[in-house]
Amino acid sequence: MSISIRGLRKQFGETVAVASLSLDIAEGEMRVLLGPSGCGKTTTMRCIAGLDAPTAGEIAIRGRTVFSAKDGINMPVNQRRVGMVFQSYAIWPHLTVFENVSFPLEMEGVPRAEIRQRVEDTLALVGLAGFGSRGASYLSGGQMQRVALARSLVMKPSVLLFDEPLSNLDARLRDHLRIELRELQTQFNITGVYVTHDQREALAVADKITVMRAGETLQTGAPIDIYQQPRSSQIAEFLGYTNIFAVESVASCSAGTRVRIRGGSELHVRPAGLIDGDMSVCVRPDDVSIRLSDGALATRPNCIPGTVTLASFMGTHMQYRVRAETGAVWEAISPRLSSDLRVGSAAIIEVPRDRILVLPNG
Amino acid sequence: MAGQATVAGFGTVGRAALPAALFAALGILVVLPFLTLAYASFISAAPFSGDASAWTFANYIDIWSPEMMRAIGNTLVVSLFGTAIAMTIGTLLAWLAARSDIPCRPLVHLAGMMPLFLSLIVAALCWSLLGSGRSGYLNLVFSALGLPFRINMQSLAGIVFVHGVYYVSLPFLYVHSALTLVHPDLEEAAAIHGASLRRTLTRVTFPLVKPAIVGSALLLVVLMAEEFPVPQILAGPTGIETLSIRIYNLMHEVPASEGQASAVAMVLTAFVGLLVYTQRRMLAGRDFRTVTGKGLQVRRFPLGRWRWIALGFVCLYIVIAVVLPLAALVLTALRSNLYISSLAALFDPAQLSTERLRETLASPAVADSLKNSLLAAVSTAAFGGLFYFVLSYAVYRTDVWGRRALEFLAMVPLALPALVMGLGILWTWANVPLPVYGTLAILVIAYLGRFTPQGFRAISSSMLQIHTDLEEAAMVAGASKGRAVRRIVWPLMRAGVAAAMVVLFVLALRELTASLFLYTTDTRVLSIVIYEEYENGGWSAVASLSLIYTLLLGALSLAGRRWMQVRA
Amino acid sequence: MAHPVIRLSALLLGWALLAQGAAHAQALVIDGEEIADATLMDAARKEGRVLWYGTWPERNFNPSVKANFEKDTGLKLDFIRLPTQSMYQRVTAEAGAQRLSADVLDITDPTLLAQFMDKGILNVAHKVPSFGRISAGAKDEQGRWYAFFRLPVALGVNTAVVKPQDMPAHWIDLLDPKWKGMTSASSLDVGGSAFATWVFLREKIDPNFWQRWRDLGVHVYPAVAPAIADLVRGETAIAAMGVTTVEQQAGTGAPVKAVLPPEGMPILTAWGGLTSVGRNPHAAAVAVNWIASKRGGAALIQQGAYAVNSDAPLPKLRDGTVFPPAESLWEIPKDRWEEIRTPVSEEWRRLFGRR
Repeated sequence: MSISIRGLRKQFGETVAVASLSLDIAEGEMRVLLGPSGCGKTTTMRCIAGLDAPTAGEIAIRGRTVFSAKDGINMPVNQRRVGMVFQSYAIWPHLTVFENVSFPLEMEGVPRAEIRQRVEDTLALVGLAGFGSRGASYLSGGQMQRVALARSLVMKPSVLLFDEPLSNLDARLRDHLRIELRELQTQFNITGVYVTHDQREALAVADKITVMRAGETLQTGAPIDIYQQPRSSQIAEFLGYTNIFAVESVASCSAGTRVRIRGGSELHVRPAGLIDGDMSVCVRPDDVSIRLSDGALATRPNCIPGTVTLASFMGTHMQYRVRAETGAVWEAISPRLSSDLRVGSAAIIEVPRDRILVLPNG
Repeated sequence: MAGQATVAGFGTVGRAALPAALFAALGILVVLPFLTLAYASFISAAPFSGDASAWTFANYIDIWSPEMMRAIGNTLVVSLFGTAIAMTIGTLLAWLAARSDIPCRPLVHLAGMMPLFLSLIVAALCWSLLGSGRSGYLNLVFSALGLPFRINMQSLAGIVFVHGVYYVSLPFLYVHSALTLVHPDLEEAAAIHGASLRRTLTRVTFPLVKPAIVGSALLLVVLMAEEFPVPQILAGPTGIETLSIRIYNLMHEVPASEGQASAVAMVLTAFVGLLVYTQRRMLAGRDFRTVTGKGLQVRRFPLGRWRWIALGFVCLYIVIAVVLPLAALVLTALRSNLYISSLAALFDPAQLSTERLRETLASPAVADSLKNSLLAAVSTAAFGGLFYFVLSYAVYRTDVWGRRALEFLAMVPLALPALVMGLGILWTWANVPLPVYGTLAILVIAYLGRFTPQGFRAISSSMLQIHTDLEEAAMVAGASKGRAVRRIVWPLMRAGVAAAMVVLFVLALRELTASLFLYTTDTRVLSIVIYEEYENGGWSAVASLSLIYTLLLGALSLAGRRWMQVRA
Repeated sequence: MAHPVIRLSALLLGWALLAQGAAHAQALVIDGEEIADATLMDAARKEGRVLWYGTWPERNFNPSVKANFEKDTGLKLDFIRLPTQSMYQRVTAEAGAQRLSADVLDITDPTLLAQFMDKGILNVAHKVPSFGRISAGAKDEQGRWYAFFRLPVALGVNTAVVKPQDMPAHWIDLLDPKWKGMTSASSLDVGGSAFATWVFLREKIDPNFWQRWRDLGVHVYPAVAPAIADLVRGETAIAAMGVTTVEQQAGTGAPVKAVLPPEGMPILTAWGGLTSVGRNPHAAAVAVNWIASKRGGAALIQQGAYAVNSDAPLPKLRDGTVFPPAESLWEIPKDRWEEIRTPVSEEWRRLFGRR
C-alpha cells in the first residue's frame, strides 16, 4: 500500500473534524475524498501531509510510519517527501517561476546544473517552457496552478496531494487542467489524494472515491460503482441524483412492489433488498424520459403527467423540470434537443422500473 | 488597487468645488507654514516682525559652522543606531506575537504597544533620573552593590538607547500586521517542499514582509531625525546638539537668529523629505499582501527550548521600557528634592511624602492644562475625522481633478519636522486677522496639519475595503450621490472612522514639539506643563505630572487598542 | 421757590448724589501712600483688568505680585509668562500684526528692551507717584520703564558635599583647585544675567577668570534647569546661580544654600512698563504704580527680589542674612551693553564653544 491510515482522529478543541478514519490507497491510485464542507476531507489530507498532527491513529506512507500516536512518531512536514497543490496556488510572489519550481530541489541540496535541467524539463511538462524568468505574480490563474504542479512534480514525489486545486479557476480552464492533472498522475504513476466537493470532478478524476460526511467515511468504491449504486439517499443526492422522494408506503402487487411516494404518485420498483424503515426513492435525471402529453391519460406504470416549469438548453442536452399534479417536481435530462417542450407545456415523464433506487436515508 | 471612481452623481459645481476646498484646507494646514519657513530662511530679519529685511542667501552660508557639522553627525548617529535597535526589538516582538507559539501571547502584544503610552518626553525624563550622574537611581544601585561601572544617560548613547527602546511600537505594528496577512499556504507550501523552519523564515516569510520592514525603518529614521524632547533633555545639559536642538537654540539665543534657524530647518526638512520620498518609491506597487483565504488558521512555529528564553526577553523588555521608568517616576514624585546621598536614602521613608504629589494634583494650572489637552485632542479627533473622511473619499472614490496631488499633499507633513512646522505656523497665523493666534485653535490647527498622513491613511485603508459596488447599487436603486454616501458608505465606514479618531486623539494628547512655539500661559497643554516644569527645575512636579500623563495615555491606549492597527 | 420740604429733599438728594459720586471717585491709598488718584482709579475700575506679559516664573509672580495686587485694588491681573526669547518673538510677531494686547510688559534683556522701545511698543512716558523714591538706575528718566524686579546672582553651594570648614565666601573661591570639576555656571548665551555674570567675573574679580576657570573644568550648562538640578543632586558643589533659584530649592529641603559674596554681585533685572497698545491703559498704570510703591515692594521682597521703591526694606535670605543695598550690585550700563554684547560673546564662545 502506498498510503495506509488507521484509526485517524483529529480534534480541534471540542470539535471533532475526523472521527475515526481508516483507508488504504494503492500505489499509483488516484483517491478522491468527496464530501461537503466540514466533512473532514481537507483535515485528513493535511494530516497525511503533516501540516496538522492527528489526535490519534497511524499514518504510513510507502511502508514508513510517518505518524503514530501510540509510538510517539511525528515526522516533520519537510521530511515527508509529499507534493501538494493548493487551492490558492500558494505561488511565492517574490520569486520567479524558475525559483518557485527549483525551491524543493534547493532544499534537497541538488547541484545547480542538475536543478536547471530538471526545472526546465518539468516546466516543459506542464506546458510552461520558457516561463522561467517570469515574475511569479505576473501569471494568470491557470498558469499559476501549472507552476504549483511543476513545483511538486520536480521533486519526483511518490505521493501528490491536491487540495481543491481547480475551484479558483474558470470553467473551461478547469476542464483542461483536470485532464492534464490526471494524465500526469497516471503517466508518472504517482499516488494521488484529491480533495473536492464537486461530484463531477470527483467522478472524472478518480480511481476510487471515498465519500465522507461529518468526519466519517460513508462509502468507498470505483466511480462507476458508487455512481450506480450509492448506499444511501444522502450519497445519492451528493452524486447528483436530483429526484429524491420519501417513501410513504409499500405494497406488494402482482407486477411486483409498489411504493407510494410523498405527494401521492405510485411507482413500480424492483428493489434490491427489503424496503423497510426510513427510505427514499432515488432516480437520476438522465434516467427520466419526457415527452409531450397527448392528452390521453397515462396508462403505463411509472408515467407521471405534469407541467413543464423549466426547459434549459445546456448545449449537449436539455434540462427539464416538471411539476406533477401531485406537486412533486421531477428533473429530467434529455439528449434530444427539441423545442416543442416549453415552459407551460403539458408533459409526461416516465421512469423505468429498474432505474429506481430505493435507498435508506442517512 | 483603489476602486473605480464613481463618475455619476456629482454636479459640475460639486466636482470643481470639492477639490478646490480640499486644496485650500491642505494648503493652509500644510503648505503655508512650509512656505513661511522658506521665506524666513531667505530674509535677513524675523518674518512679519516689522523690521526692515532684505532678501539674502547669507543664512544658508552662515549656518555651516563646526557646530552644524557636529549636529548633523549627531543626528545621523541617533537616528541610524536608534532605528537599528528599534527595528530589531520591534520585528522580533512582532514575529513572536504573530507567528510563534510563545506562551502568554497577550503579554507580547502589550510589550509591543506599551511605548505608545509612555510618551517620549516622559521616557527621556525617567531615564535622566535613572541614569545621569552619581545620583542616577541605577547608578546608586550599582555603587551600593560595589559594581565598577556607571551608566551615563546624558550622552549620544543615552539618546540612542531611549530611541531604540521607545520607538518599538511602530515597527511592531507594521510588521505584525504584515505577518498576519501573509497567507499561511505560502509557508506551508515551503514546508511541504522541503524547507525547515529556519529556511521557511528566511526564504519565504521575511522576504514577504520586507516592504513593511523597510517602510517602517525609513519612517523611524525620519521620526528620530526630527525628534526634539529626547535629545533636549538627555543631551541638552551637556551641550550635544542635534539638528532639531540646533533650530531650537538658534531661536532662543539673544538675539535670535530666525533666519539661520529657518535655514537649518530647511536643511532638516530636505533630509527628511528625501527619506520619505525614498520610502514611497520603494513601496510603490510592491505589495506582497495576498488576499486572505478562507478561515485563516495561522500555523504557529514551535519554539521548543527557546520558548522560555523568548518569554524572558519579552519580560526584560517590559521591565526596561516600563517598570523601571514608572518606578523612577513614583519615587521622584514622592520626594521633595533631588538630593540623594545613597541608595538607602533613596528609599528612606522619612524623605518620602505625598505632599508634592497632592499639591500638583490640586493645582488649578494642572487642571486647566488637562482640560486644554483633552479639549485640543477631542477637537483634533472630531475635525480630523471629518476632514480626512472627505479627503479620502475625494481621492479614492471620485474622479475629480487633482486627486493625485491631494494624495501627495496629504503625505507631505511626514517630511516636515514638528518643530519646523510649529515655527512656520507661528509666523503664518500671527498675521492672519482671525482670532486664532494665542488660542487653543492654533494648537488644533498644528495638530491637524501634523497628523494628516496618519489620519488620512487610517481612514483610506478602511475606505478601500468597501467595494464600489455597494455604493453603485444604491445609486442604481435611486439614491443620489449624497444619499448613497450617507446611507451606505458612512455607516460602513463608521468603525474605521472611529478607529482613526481614537488614533488622532492619542496622538494629539502626546504631542509636545509642535506646540512649543504656539502656546501661551492659558493655552498650555499637559505635555507643555511638564516641559516647563522641567525647565524650571521642579522635578517633583515633573514626576507627578508625568505619572498622571502616563496613566491617562495608558488608559486611553488600552481602551482603544483594537483600533490602533496600522496598515502598511 | 418750592415748598420747604421739597427744597430740603432736593438738597438731601443732591448731597446723596454727591456722596455717591464721591464714593466712586476714590483714590487708592494704602498705608498712607497714594497708589492712584481718584480719576485714575475710577477709569481703572471701569476697565477692570490688566494683561501682563512677563518673564518671572509664575510660582514667584503669582503669590507676590498677582495675589497682593488683586487684593489691594480689586482689579484682575492676567499674567502670561514667557521665557525671554519666546517673549520677544511673540511680542514682535503680535505687534507686527497689530494684535499686541498686553497692557504691561517686562523683559530681562536690555538689547531687547531697546528694540521694544525702538519699535514703539514700550514708550509710554508714565511717572509713577513714587517716582522720586526710585533710584536713578532703576528707572527711565521719562518713566517709560522701571526695574520691576531685580534678582542677584551669587554662589549656590551644596551643603551635603561641601563641608562647613570648606564653605566658600568669595567669588575667587570658584577658582580654588580643590573644587576642580565641581563648579558650574550657565552659558553666556542663556540670557542677560548670565552675560552680566561672566562679564562681572572678568571685570571685577579677575581679568583671567575665564581662562583659569576653564582650566579648572567648569561645567557650563546651556540652561538654568540642568545647572540647578546638578547642584541639588551633588554632581557639582558650587555654582554661579541666581539667589532665588537656590533659595527655592532649599525651601523644598534640598541641601543647598546661597552665599552672598561681600565684594559684590551681578544682578538680573526685569525692566518693564506700559505698552502703547494695551486696551486697559488706566488699569495698567495702576499696576505699574503699585509695583513701584512701598506696598508693591513689600510684596516683592517676599520672593527674594529687590523692591523698585528704595523706601521698601531689603530682602533677606532664609537664614536671615539681609541682602546688600541694590545700588551696590553690579550692572552693565545699557549703552555699554549694546557696545560690548557681540564682541564679548564671540570671545567667550571662542573659549567655551557655543552652548
